[in-house]
Amino acid sequence: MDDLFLQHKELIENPTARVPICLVLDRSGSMSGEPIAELNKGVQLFIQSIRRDDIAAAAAEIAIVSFGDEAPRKELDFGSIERQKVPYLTASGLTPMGAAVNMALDMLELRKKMYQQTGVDYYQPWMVLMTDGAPTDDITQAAERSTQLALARKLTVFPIGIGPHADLSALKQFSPRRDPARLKGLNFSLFFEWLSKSVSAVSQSTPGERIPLPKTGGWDEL
Amino acid sequence: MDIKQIVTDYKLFIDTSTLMSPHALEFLMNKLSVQLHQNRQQAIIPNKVVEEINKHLANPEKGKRQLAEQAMDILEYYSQYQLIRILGDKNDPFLDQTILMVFTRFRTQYNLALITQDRGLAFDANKLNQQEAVFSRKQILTLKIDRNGKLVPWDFRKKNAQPKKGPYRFPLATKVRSNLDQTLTVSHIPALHDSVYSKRFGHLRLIKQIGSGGEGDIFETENGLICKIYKEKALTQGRLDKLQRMTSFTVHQAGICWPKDIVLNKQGQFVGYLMDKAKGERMQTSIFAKPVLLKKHPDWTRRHLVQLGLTILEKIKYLHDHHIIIGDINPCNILIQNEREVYFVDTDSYQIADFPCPVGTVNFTAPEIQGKNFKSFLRTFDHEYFAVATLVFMILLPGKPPFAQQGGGTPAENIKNHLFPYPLKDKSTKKAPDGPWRFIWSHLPYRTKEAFYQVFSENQRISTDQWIDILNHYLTLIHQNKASDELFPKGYKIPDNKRTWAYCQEKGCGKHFEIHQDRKNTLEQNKRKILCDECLEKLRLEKLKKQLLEPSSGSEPSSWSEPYISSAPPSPPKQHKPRPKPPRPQPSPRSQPNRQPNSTPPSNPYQNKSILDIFFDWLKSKL
Repeated sequence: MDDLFLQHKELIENPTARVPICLVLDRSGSMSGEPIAELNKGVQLFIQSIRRDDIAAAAAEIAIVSFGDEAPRKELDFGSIERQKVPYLTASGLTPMGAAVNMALDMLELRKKMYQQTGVDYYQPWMVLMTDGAPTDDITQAAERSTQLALARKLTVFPIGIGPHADLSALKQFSPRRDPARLKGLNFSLFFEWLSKSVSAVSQSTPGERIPLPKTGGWDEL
Repeated sequence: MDIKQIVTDYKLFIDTSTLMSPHALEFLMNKLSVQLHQNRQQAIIPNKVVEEINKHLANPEKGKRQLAEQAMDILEYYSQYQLIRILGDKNDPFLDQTILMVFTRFRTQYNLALITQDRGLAFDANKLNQQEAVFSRKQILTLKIDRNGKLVPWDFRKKNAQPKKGPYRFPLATKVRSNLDQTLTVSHIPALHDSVYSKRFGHLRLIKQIGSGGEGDIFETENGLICKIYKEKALTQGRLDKLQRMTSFTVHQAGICWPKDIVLNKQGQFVGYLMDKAKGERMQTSIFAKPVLLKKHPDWTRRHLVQLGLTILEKIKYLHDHHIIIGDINPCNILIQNEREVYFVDTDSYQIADFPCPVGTVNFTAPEIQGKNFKSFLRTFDHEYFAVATLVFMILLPGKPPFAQQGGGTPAENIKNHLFPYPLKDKSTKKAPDGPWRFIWSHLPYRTKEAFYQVFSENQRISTDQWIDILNHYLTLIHQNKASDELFPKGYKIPDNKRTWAYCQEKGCGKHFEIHQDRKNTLEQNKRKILCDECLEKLRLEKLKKQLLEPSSGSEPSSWSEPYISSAPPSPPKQHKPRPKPPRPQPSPRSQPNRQPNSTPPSNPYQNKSILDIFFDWLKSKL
């Protein structure tokens, strides 16, 4: 909340309808080494490709919550993507997924409140939840919150399992509408490229409007 | 035409018809005035012209009245800088006769020029040249302002060659043609480097791909034309019929990339169409956000925005005059090169006759057709005028949709409920969005605000012609310094007669600043602190912060806007009672998303699957 003034200025000066996205990323001990390096690369790529698309850059607002050690950590708060510094995640400790999702949902709620107060149009938020293992804290309450929101169409959840040990059934508890996807290998870049394309597609529609069918031809480039 | 030569060598007369022409504004305000001033010359306005304009000021027809006001504004401006002489005798006959009389009398002494939009008058004045020509080396020149705002000589031969005819108009239908979606058989869809055939332009190679969309790909051809090649599933009988209908009509208006001819593949099957090349950048990414607007048009002021609006409206008017309804007006289909050069693309979706425009976006869709399937009905001019008003609004408040507001519902809900958040006189929902938008709004001319209010709040549409008048009026006010030329004004408008000074009463500030007289009085009467803009802003942020940190109760935040200062014509000063309590938060429609019947439009085969679901399924198959 320290840079509230700047956030406020950015909010009110940009008329574009916003897509708030919170990445909730596993940085527990098991991610150390290549996985965390690839994840960091993927996040970088995601932000860069959004910056390259004028419309998406004006629309997308990104926050990052990581979970490792004993507690979740706010790595990046919402703000103009132009000035955001992409954090570098380091892996260690436990997998406090429930607390991380709660933190992310709080942040998204606050952001929505700011949109409403200042009169900025917005899309319902997205939450990307990625883990390579199983939660080490109680996820019941966080999963319940996430489920309620998703069922009311107030939240879009993208649950992603990393590698063979990811607990997809835990992920599923956060996402009533969408089954988790499992990342084979460490192909984060494919996922984040996909995510940025989805942001671009959505940011060209109007909030509350059905988005026209994707260009089936365009996907071939991927 | 060399304006300098005309003002120095001729006695220049200007007729009522030109002063009241919406096309002449720019010429009169920017070009002629400058030349007259620089060359220390004056134009001559017959007194009868002033009388005629005065009469029009009371014209029951609003459009005429507005044009007369504009003409009066111009005359006031000219006389302020001594650029005109108003001449006349008591016994002058009506205007045309007066001019012809004066010309007959002086044509051997001076070169005389007349700017008029009246063909008959110009013809008669020009005829005087042929009388007793041997005795005079002096010349009479008759001129007009053409549709592009240029000064051009009247050409009487040309007009005789082509007898007067109204514009071609597509018939207006009420029912969508049936069987539009019947697909055609195509054995090969041309790709890059393939040749296509057009009856009009012959064989053309596709030399460069310049875009791709949901319906097909866009190529540049070897002769510089642009070719759209449809995807197989988009090649329907309906599309072919529509394009044949479209290509039989020639658009005589620069910047509308209308289908010029259909193209066939090697097998002689219909695969796409040819059009002119567009220039510039999509309005969405070059105008519709403050940072890009400032970056891409660093020299722009408000007059450029207004001019851009006029340039776009002129094209829309041209289409409407021919009964072509754009349908899907949106900032991605308009390319901006500069404020006078714009291009309309994706014209194959326009509605003509009983071929509907099958697409649209929420922000530009009138309340009565929100949620309807665009393929299933024909739009009316009334529907279109809603989109036109939205576009004009989003040009003047760059990129801000008219219904974006504090604590509101979704755009579709706000549109359907006519919840326009900006104030007019005493009418205000106090929900106008924060930031530069309110300031811009407060600086708009009253007539412009009234028009927006009429369309968005009272649901009474305004025609494209009327919008042209309204923006012309706005432009005149800017030229005359009667409206702010700032792109993003930094505060509310304070009319000159209401401007006063105050000291900021915030501890440690004490700044001396300009304030609206009514506001100062009200604050003093209510014994409230007088604060400068910066301190006010700080206070509001503190308030915002508090509200944000309140434990989430599930209710929408209450509005926290400051009362507006109306820039409307004088009305009795409002008594702002000290607000005892914020209004009770109303549950907003946004918090009950499942109650709207329209959230899932009928006949959408994907209604149970959002596009994100489809994307995600695709993703899962690839990971």
